Amino acid sequence: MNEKVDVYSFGVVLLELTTGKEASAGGEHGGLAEWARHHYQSGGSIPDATDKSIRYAGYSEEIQVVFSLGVLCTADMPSSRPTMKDVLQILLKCSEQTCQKSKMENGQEYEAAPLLLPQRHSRRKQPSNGTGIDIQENSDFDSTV
Amino acid sequence: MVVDDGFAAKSLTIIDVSENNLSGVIPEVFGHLQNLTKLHLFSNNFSGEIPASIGRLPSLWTLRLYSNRFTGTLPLELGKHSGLGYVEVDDNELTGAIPEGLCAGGQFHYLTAEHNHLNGSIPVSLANCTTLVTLDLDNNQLTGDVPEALWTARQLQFLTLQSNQLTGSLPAAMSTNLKTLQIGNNQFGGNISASAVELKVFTAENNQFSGEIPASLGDGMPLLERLNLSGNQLSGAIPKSVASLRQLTFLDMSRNQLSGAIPAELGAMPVLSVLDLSSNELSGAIPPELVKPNLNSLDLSSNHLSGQVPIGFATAAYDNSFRDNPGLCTEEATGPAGVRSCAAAAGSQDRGSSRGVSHALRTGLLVAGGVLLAAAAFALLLVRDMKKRRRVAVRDEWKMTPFVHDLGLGEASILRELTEENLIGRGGSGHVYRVTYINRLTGSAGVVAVKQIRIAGTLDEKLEREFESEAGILGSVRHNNIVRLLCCLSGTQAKLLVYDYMDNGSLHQWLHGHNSRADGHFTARAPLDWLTRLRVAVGVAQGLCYLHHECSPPIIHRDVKTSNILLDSEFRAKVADFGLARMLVEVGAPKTMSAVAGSFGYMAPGMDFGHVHFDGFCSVVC
Repeated sequence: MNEKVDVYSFGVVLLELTTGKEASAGGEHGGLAEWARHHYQSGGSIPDATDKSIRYAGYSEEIQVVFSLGVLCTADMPSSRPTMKDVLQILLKCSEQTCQKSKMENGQEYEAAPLLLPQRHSRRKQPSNGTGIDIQENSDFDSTV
Repeated sequence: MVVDDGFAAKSLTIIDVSENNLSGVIPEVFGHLQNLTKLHLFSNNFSGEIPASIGRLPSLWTLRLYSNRFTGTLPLELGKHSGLGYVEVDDNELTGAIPEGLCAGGQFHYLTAEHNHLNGSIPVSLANCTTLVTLDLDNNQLTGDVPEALWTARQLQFLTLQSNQLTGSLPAAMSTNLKTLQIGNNQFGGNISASAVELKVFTAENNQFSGEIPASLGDGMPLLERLNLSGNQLSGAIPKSVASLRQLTFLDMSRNQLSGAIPAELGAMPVLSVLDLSSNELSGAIPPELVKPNLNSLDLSSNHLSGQVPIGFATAAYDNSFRDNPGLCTEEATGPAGVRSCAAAAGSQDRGSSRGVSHALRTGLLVAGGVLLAAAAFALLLVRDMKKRRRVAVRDEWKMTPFVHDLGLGEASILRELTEENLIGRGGSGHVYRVTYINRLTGSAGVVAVKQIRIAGTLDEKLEREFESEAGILGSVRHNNIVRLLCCLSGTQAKLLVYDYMDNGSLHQWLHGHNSRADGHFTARAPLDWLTRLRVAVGVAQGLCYLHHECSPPIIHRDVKTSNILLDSEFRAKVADFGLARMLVEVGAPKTMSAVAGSFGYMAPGMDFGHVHFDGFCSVVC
């Protein structure tokens, strides 16, 4: 067993933080991780999957990054999961972005956010958020030694 | 499922089928994949020999084959044809020698091969490998002298060679990067090294080291946390400088020929919790300075100590600490086992040398002594009775291991608060209580969370010791995003883990609204906003990053879930509850059952709940 088991579990925590669902709440798909993967791969929208209490707060891009990161961390193959170092880098970048936004006056520009949200995503579409997170099933993170 | 031979994707760079239930042999064709950089087959049921051709792969960087049933030898040419970095083949049935050329590519970092049947000696070429960071060869059948260059290998941080038949001796000064050195159960001889400035763990038990313990050890290894030199032939006195090892928690020098007095300075070591000096030739009195609350395991048995056992040792925890020291006596009515009463000793001496003392004075003294003795016995009975009454449903004797020096919290003040009204959580592994107390050192009020783990079966001595050693390591983990383990209490039917109390409970309560407390109260909570959620995610990632990347070998938490992520008064996330609790729950329960019951939804596919093993150190913050 190696540390990638923790990365998997942490991925589930990220999915809980974004969707508000419980870890075991995957319905026919099993756990939340399987549900999220299915949702992601079948092109379901991330805002649809987002916890209602944070859905319209104007952070949909960041939420999308964290949700995608959760899917990435819960890859079946341990070597496809990022290391905690990688995960931390992505989250730090994402929180910089969130902090910048929250410093601006809770903005009118975000009130219309739900309408501006991208509706569908293809399986491998890269969220264009500058955090560099790229969901590829076979991407290999072990090379960061 | 079997990987078969009809497979011809010649340009493959990575093969990773780790952590499955695959069986069969490594197909010969793998040895022809010119671009293969990573071959990861760990944690499966593969068997047979590793094809020699794997050793000739020109691009191979990591070979991870641990936890399978491979037999035969490691490929002879491994390392000679590529810039090899990592070879991990622990827990197989490999025989033969360690290949000579592992470091030939000049980039070799890491060889772990413990629990195999490797024989031969450690190659000089490996010892001369300037890029080597980790070498773990425990539990093999290696023989011969360890090449001297290994002890001073420049980058080497983690060296563990336990339970082989290795010979050789240590240099006066070892590598300045070495953090862990474990060489117990071999045939090493010569003197103990005096210097290794980064060393935290040094275990060399059951060898043939001789000579004196270097007087400068205290300065030469200032960061030592564990020192085990038991079962050697060390002689001379215990140097006073040992006491300047401020971080030492575990000191075992038993079963040597050490002589002289026990330095009183040992009593001033701030975090020492285990001291074993048994089976030596120590003489003189036991320094009263050794009576201190955090020294919870003391063994001075089988020496030539004399005089009185200091008063403070009259608790059950020290009952066997002083056996087989014919010169010792005790003032207590019910002193430690195997120690006679001083009154009797004095009596017999009196008869020989009482000519100058008047009969009346002697009678007076005896009467006064008798009265004192009776009073002491009565007081003791009273105290015991009070203790009994306090320990509701806990009949145990408790052994306390503190991990912080300013704990200011005694076992009694914890035990009496484990009541129904303080219960704040019930989990699969036990109850959690909120305990308020007055800090004995500072006089201020404090709050701790106490997790009580009931033990399903009886722990054998080995598991007991393992629990203690693992708790000790977790107790030494310090990070802003990891809940501090303050101390642990060990009884025969339960273990108590005492943590900092976190005002805002668990992330699970906040996210999923399961706000019912054990007492049936419900509290309404506002949903967490995105900023807080993201901060929590970053905090947890920082904590895990520390465990994975700053500890060597990495500490794997094994049970990350929202109920184990706690929030302090300012909603800072703290990771809690390592595998420690589960380790005990597994005793007597089918392990898959307890694992599943614990954390459905969080487990990686194919995850095997093997036994956790922490043994190492952590460095700077991630």
